[in-house]
Formats: sequence, structure tokens, C-alpha cells
Amino acid sequence: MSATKYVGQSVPREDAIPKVTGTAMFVHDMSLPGMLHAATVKSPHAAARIVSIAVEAARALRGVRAVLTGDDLDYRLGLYVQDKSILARERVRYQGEPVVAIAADTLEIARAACDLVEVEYEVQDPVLDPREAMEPGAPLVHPDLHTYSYMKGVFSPKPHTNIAHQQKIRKGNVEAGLAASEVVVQEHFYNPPAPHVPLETHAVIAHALPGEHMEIYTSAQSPYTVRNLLCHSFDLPHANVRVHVPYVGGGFGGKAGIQLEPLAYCLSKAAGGKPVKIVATREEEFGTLPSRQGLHTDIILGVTKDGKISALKVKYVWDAGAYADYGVNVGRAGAYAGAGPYNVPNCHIDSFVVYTNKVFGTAYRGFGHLEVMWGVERAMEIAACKLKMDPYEFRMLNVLRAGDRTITGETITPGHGRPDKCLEAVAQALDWGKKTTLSDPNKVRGKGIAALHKAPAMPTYTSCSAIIKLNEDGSADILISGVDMGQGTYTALRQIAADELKLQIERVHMTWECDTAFSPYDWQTVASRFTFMGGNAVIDASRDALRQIKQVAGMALRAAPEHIVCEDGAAYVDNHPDQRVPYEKFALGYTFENGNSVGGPIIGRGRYIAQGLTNLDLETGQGLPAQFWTYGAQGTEVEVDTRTGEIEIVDMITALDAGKVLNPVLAREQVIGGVVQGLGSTLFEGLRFDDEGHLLNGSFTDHKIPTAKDIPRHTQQIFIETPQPDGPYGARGIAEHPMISVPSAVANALYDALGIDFNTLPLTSERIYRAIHEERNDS
Amino acid sequence: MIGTFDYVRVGSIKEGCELLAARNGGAVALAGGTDLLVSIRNTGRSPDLLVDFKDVAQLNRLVTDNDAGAMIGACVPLNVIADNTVINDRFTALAAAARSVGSYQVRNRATLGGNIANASPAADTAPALLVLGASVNVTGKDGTRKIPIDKLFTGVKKTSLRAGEVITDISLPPVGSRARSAFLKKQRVKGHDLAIINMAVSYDPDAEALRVAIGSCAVTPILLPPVNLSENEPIDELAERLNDIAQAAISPIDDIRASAVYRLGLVPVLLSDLLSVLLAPEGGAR
Repeated sequence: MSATKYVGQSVPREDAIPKVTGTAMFVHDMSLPGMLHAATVKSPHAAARIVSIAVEAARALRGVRAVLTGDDLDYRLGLYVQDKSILARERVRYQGEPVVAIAADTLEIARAACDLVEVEYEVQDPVLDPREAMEPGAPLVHPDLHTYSYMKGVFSPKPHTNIAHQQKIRKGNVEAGLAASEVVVQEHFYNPPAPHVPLETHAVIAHALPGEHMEIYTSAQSPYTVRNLLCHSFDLPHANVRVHVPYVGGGFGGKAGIQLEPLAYCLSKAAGGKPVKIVATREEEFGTLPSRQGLHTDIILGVTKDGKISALKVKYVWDAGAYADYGVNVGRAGAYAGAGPYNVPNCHIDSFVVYTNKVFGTAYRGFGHLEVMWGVERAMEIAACKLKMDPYEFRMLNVLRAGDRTITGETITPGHGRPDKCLEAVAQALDWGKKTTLSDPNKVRGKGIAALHKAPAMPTYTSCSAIIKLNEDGSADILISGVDMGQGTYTALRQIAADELKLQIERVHMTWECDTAFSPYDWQTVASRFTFMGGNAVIDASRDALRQIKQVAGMALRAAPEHIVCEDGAAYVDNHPDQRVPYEKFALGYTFENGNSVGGPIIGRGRYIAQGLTNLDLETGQGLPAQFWTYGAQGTEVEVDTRTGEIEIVDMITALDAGKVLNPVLAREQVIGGVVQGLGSTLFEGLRFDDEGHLLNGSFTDHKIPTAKDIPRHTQQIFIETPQPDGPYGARGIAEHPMISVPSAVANALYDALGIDFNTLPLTSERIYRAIHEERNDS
Repeated sequence: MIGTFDYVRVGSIKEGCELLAARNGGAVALAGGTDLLVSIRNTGRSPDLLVDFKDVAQLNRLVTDNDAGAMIGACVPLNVIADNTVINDRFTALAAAARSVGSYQVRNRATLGGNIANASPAADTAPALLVLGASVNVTGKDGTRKIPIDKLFTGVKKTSLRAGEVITDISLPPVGSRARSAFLKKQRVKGHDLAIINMAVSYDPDAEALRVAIGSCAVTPILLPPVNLSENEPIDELAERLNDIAQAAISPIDDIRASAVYRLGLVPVLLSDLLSVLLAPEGGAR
């Protein structure tokens, strides 16, 4: 491959100016003629039977155009398990669940009408702890689970229980492995559920059109998934549904599937076809729309006396909340990644995804891996300490290397990336082994390190496509339906296309609105797979366009296409670079002096489909779930005020084996963003509920996320580049990874600083204060 | 949701007070609105009328004078107070407290009058005003009166203001040339957050006067009873003595932000840090 001109360079974002100047159009900004606004009445109870709903007064309010209850909407939706109504029917399953929806001329009228609705509930005992929900005799969140349809062969809802899915991983003989262990660590870990908190809340405009057609404008990560699920939900041909996705202000997984779109469509239909807009309030973003699942982890880890992992037995219990959504797939991914990037000869994992009466879970940046690595990397630390081994050396001894087999039976190859190199880079940058001592007697420092891995969690048949069209002036437009919601993929795709098309980057453009009518298919913008799959599709489309360019340029220059060289948006015959024909001369076809014309508009098409993936065996979990693994390590130095438990993150180092860094500045930005988001999960974030299942911190007042002032004093981003054989220019996805092992690295550093093990997130100053005081009282 | 209400922006205190009186409790005075509008939205309960006092020139004055202390209009935004050189030099605790309320954007709207009229137990400016001996000038239909700041707060979101009365300004008595004060706050994130606990201390070596006030640890911000300073008492002993007084005076609760135990545990830390700031220049003892 010849040297690249743009790939590997820090090309600035094309979206920077529209976003900074406010000209970028988001669904929040949009309105259609005659558009109505909608609001919902939500359940104040975590679990209750709906006795009656009185909507007459609301319906009578002037300006109200449609009022819907669950009984009006006989549909059941769900990505993997069809368990969710558009509005609650017969019962409510979490506080905040929409029960009645009203569309009106203004938002104020819609909200006033909601206040006039009277719902009578018969309150029931909620089931809130997923471990209790697994017990026989626990109240059932979905008594009709056995009647629901679900994705067979992949998921396994257990009839007459609260278990939406159980993922099993079986490798070797775990009991024999534990028996042969010198040290056995047995620990419980917990992560609370946490909201995504995108800058832009969910927003949708739905327009029900005559003839069962619909047009949707939505703040979503996956236009085609929205279309596909809408078509399945309402039994419509795909041609009847058109989905537009303009600029999106962050998703983090919360906008991966469908949420408000079906309701907006039903309201539009009920209002006689007037378009209906629903914009989630920030409170709805916390308490009605889905969050990250909570996780209880019970780990038994056995290690031989020379420090080799001999067995790992884990029970993961995910708090799905009221509906399965992506949660069942999070439980699946968490299981096959549930041993971390380590060579584990004997492994037994049960990952249960369990319904409770809380706001439901969905995909969230990391897709279960932050939660799983919290337990795994804390357990590794505890094992190393018990063995009196350096935790870094312990990890280096056990980390996956070429020739090792993963817990699902995949053999690691030299093309897999190098977690060992990531660990090594972090240890070096952190000055591992060197303790910082401070003169202030109230402050102590500690260093911690943790490894990470993640592969895209996606169906075996996941695919992507791209179209590249040349314009009159020889510039190129890329059409693709993956969404750039801030992560920067579109910039990377432009760089790839510019290099492949031999065209100046200023002349390669992305179309920022995705539209299922024009943009070619992409599965979903999730799983850190868009740059990988979109990149491969763009390479394919560019090469198709370049072949057409050379063909028509060959005719124009009277040479065979194989003798045509392209460079900087012009073509020439091998040894005659001075006789160039610019692309604009033939982008739409070449015209000879006498008027004869050849060629025609150049349009490249490209595609990519996942290669060689298999479903996992339902009994053993064996199979190939991963298109690629991105490995990494994170290390931190923390300073603790032992009087208050406050932590200062002195340094936070992240090393990822990116395969190939396509854009250094964007890669660095993405890692910093992920680290800060990870620090939120580490230090403050988490939804809290009272004993009746009421959300206690459903707003920014009491659910804090990191602010600019909470960014660590120093961060460092290190990229290892072991090329991924099938990645675009060798690249792998790195979008989710920077937040995955932040919590475990920080807790490991806290152990180093204080000699106290923390197994529960978040690591609030109060939690640390109490632990320090308990320790003092004990000794 | 925010319901409907009338809104009047008045040009004088008199006009505003008449409107408040005429609505007989259905009207509420509006300054920055950063607490009031959030509360209207969250509770769904709107007053009949919002009387906006921000246009009244007198309420926007910040007058400082080396001899006569300071006079801060009720509608002066917190950022103006935080940025004022004289307030920073002489009433340091108030500048620091003002700077710790909400975010920068919020502080461009939020006012000193509003922060104390809202009477949150966690109000950041309250402990500072308490240790600085501030008094609150109020006007109602029956005229004006002066309320010492330690008589203003009567409960959670409750003050001794009578119906129809508004705060017009806050006066800070002059401080001695060697007097100093400081404010500290513990919160969950480093950016904008409500206080888990906040505390202000003022100290005048010439008057042998030391005052401590604590917020977020009782139904109102608490001003500790004055302490007699003994000669050459080491800072840590003084801190310990004050901690005993404080622990007896406050009664924190468990809430979503922190437990009572944690709040009680932070008191000696804040005392020690504040005393170190205020007293350390004199060599660890006064």
C-alpha cells in the first residue's frame, strides 16, 4: 500500500463550524406545518395494576387533538424479547412508565391535559433487587413472559420467572481448576444503574401519512433499525416508512434502538395525520427512558502458586429493569467477555438478565464491559495481593497472547492486538513501582492499573454499505447511514475516501442527514464498529468509483485503464504526469472535441458484512462472537484526603491497541471523553431508588456527572498499532473502550493508597471516608 | 410544568410592594429566578403573579466604603459580588461563598437577595453573611425594617419576612483592618453542586472575635455562639474546642447528598482548614 496522504493525519471535523455557529439542525430545532406537541402521564408507582383511566376531561380541553392509553395500542415491541407495550397496559412496571399520551396544539396544552387525567392504581409490591427477583415465588414483572416472542437460538427467556436471558460460558473444568489453586478469591461486586445523559435529549417528529405511510425525524443512532422495528411493530412494508436522522447531539447507546418513535406515530395517526413532536425532558431522560443496567457480580477466582489463573467462576446478575430492550444482549456480551483479556483455562460463567420494577436498561457505551471489568479487574488485583505478587506482573503473566484460547474457544493470533503492550505502556507512563510520598500527612497517593477488552456485540450478519457520487466539479459525496453523533467517524471516512479516490480532502464531503430513502443500509451506529465496517464499505465504494474513473479517463487519454494514474483529483497516463485531466472533465462523462461523449455519472458502491461470526452455543457459549477485539489498559495515580475521603485523580493513562490511528486528534479527544465519562461512573454516578422503587435522584440536582472542573489534572493517551488484518488501514474501533476500566483502575489505586478494597460503585468521598473510619475502628 | 401567571416588572420598591400586598399572598417577588422558576417547574404550583424587582436601580447597587462596610442590593448578581475587589479583600468569605453557588451562568442571574430569601439550609452565602454580622433591610407596605441575618432564617425555606415584605439590600458592618474571613464547602463534584456542608469563619485579632457558621447541617444555617479566645491557644486545640461546640449546635440529617455521620465528620476538617487559613500567618498560634 502506498503511503497515505490523509489517513493518519489530524484532519479537522467538517461538523465543527455548523455546530459552533448553531447552524447544524437537530430534531429539537425542527418543526413541520400543523405540528402538534405531545406529553405523557407517567406512573408514580414502581408496580401497580391499572384499575381505571379517566381521560374525558383531558380530551375536552381545547387544543387537545389526540389522547391515547395502552388499551388503544395493541402492539408489543422489543429488539430481542417482545415484552413492551407502547403505553403501559393493565399494569405499570416502573415509576416513570408512560400510561397516557396526549398530543395538542402546544406543549403547554398537552401538559395541562395530562394534569386532568385520572388514573386509579392498585399498588403492588415491587421487586427491586434482581437477586431477589430470581428467587422462586418472587413477584413476576412479566407474568406472561412465556407467551412473548423472542429471538430464538440467541436468547432464552425462562417462562414463569423474571429471567429474560441466561448466557452460559463453559470451558474446561472449573471445579478441578479451583481445586488445583493455591489462592482462591471469592468476592461480590456491584455497579448501580446509570443514565447516559446525552447533551441532546431524545426527540422525534412522526408524520402519519395516507395509505399507511409514515415519515419520522428522529434523534437516533440507527436509522435503518428505527425503520425496521417500526415496520415490524406495525406490520408495514419497508417502502412505507422513511426515517430521517439529522445531526444528533450524543447517544452513548441510549438512542441505539427505538424509544419514542412508535408513540409519536400512533399519536399522529390518532390526530388525523398531523405531525407530532415528542421531546424528552431531562427528567424523562433520567426516569422514563432507559439507562445502563445495574450489575451484581459474584466471582470465584483460582490462581496457582506461580501466579497463573487456573479457574474463574462467575455469576453475573444484571438488573434489566422493567423491559429487556438491549439488556439481554448486554448480558450475553458481558458473559463472553466476562473473563477479561486473560488466559483462563477453566471457566464457568452464568450471566442472568433479570427483570425488576425499575427503569429499564439498554445499551450504554461499553455495553456491559465497564460493569464486568469492574469485578474482573478488582478480583485480579485482590488475587495478586493475596499472592504477594505485583499486580502488573500478575497481569502480564496471565494476559492473552498469540496461541491462547479465549473462553469461547477463539484462538488468539498475531493479528489480534496486544493487551500486554498496552499494559506495558501504561506501567511505563505511570512510573509503575515508584511510590509518591507527600509532605501533607492527611494525603496519600496510590497507583492502580487495569486491563480491558471489548469486541463489537453484533449479530453474525451485521453489514454496512456506502455510496460515493462524484459531482460536476469532480468533488465527491459520501452517502452512508451510520450516524456521526459526535464521535468523529465521518471525518475518518472522509480521510479514507480522499486517499482511496486520490482526491483532495476538501473536496470529499459527508451528507450529514441520514435518510433511509437515500442513504444506503447500515445496521446500527453502536458497538465501536462504524469506523471498522463503514471504513471497509467506503474503501470498497471508493475503489469502485476509482475503477470507473480510470475507465473513462483511459478513454479520454486514449490509454488502457491500467495505465491511468490518479493523483490530487486528476488522471494521467503513467509517464505523462504533465498531461492531466481533472476529475471534473469526466465526473459526469467525458466529451470529446467533436461532441462525442463517453462514460456517464460516476457512482461507486461499496459494502461490507461481518466475516465468520457464529452464534454462541446456548449450553457452552462456544463460538466466534467477535469481529475484532480491541485491547487496552488504563492506569491512574490518585490522591486521597484521608480526613474526608475525597479523591483527586492526579493522572489517568489509557493505552489502546487501535490497530491504526486514522486521526490522532480525534482519537485523543475520544479517549479523553471516554475517560471523563468513566470517571463519572467511578466517582459519582448511579441511579438510587427507595424501598418502594421511587427514583431518588432523577435530575441534575442529585445525579451529578463530571464537569469541566472534574477533568483530571493530567491525562495521557497512548496508541499501540498492531494492524487488524481486516480493518480499514488496519484500524479497530476505540469508541467505547476508554471508559471501561477507569473504575477498576481507580479502585486498584485506592487499594494501593489505603490498603482498603472497594467493591461497590460509585466511589463517593463518603464511601471512602466511611471505609477509612471502619478500618481505623477495626484496628 | 410551568403554569400560567402574571408577570410585572416594576420600576420602584414601592410599586412592587403595593402589588405584592394587593395580591394578598398570591404574588411572589422575583429576582434572578434561579430558585423560584425551578421550584415553579418542579412543583407545578405557580403563583398568580411574579413581581420582578430586577429593574429597580436601588436594588442593583453595590456600595463599598472603607469605613462604612458594604451595602449590597438584593438584586446584585452573585458574579458581581464574587468579582468585586473590596468584597474579596475585606469580606473574603462572602466573595468565596458567592463564587461557589451554582455554575458561572447561574451566578450571572442568581442574586444575593434571592439566595437568602430562598432560605435553603444549604444556601452558600448564608454562613458568610452570618459570620460577617450582616443585616437584611426589608421593605413592606408598612415601611422598612432591619433584620439581623441570624434572625432571618426560621426553617427550611422559611424566613422571618412578613407577607408582602421584600429584601432590598444586605448591609455588612465595617470590619477591622486586620480582620479576615474565609469560606469552604464540600460537594460531590468539583463543578456546580449543592453543599454537603459549607462553613464560614471570620476572625478579628484586634477584637479577639471569632465567629463560625455552618450550613447544610440543620434546618437553617447555624451561627455558633461566640467563643472566648485564650492566649496562644494552638490552632488544633481551638479547632477541637470549636468542633465540640459545633457538634452540639448542629443536627444534620441523612439525605441523598450525604449522611449525617459524614456531615458531622467533615465539621472538624473544615474547621481545621479554615482556621489554618485565617490564623496560620501568625505562626500556628495567634
